[in-house]
Amino acid sequence: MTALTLANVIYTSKVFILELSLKNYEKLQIGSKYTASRQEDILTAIDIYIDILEYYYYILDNNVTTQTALLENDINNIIELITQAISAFKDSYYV
Amino acid sequence: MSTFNITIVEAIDASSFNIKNNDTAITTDIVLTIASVTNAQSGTYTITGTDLTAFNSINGLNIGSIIGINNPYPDDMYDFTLSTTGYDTLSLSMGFYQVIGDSTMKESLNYRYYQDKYLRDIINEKIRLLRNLRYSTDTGNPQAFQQNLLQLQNIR
Repeated sequence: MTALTLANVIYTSKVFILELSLKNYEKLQIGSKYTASRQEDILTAIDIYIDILEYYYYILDNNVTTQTALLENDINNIIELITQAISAFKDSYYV
Repeated sequence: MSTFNITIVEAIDASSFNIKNNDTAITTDIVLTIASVTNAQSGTYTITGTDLTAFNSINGLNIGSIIGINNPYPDDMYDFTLSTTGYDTLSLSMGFYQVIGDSTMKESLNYRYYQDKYLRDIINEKIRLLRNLRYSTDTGNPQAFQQNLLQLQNIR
């Protein structure tokens, strides 16, 4: 994975979450306390995942090829987890 | 007198660091001194011959262990000094934090949103402190670096 590819994933994820929050702000936290808490948990998890991607990006950006801390496979898993979390977030809307 | 324009990057496994010249190639031997801010350790390395060629190249020079400094390099702020003929002596501070960064990120990889909130708060706090470490390195603030590093190392 190149730094540019990763930068695109980070950018897309951030924009997606921002748009999701802005467009659906009125829907957030409608319903049970449990639903609100779950939405908060998911958004926090996505934030953590994006932090991991940014850390990895910093490694790639410095052109250090010895990657013992995080493997590309780990990063692909995190990207997959972001997708799943976004999907879970959408499913948690109270409609 | 000319001025050094270099980049220093710690390796991910903290066993070495990369030093690269970003300006006109330097042809005279360079004396590099590295000193740990808190551990009272220091060492000297002379960049010469093939090392000098690597230093001037686009990939830079990888320097492993230096006598006088523990290896892998413990997380700390390090003072670097470079000197050579015809150049102003360069002194700069760099924060190395790959050891704690490595463990924090590995721990974060296992986080799932349905897990305990306490775990989430711990991971969030560690990531926040890690980000502070990077900021304090970028802004060259040794005091903030040490405070954040200590906090990060003490979190259980």
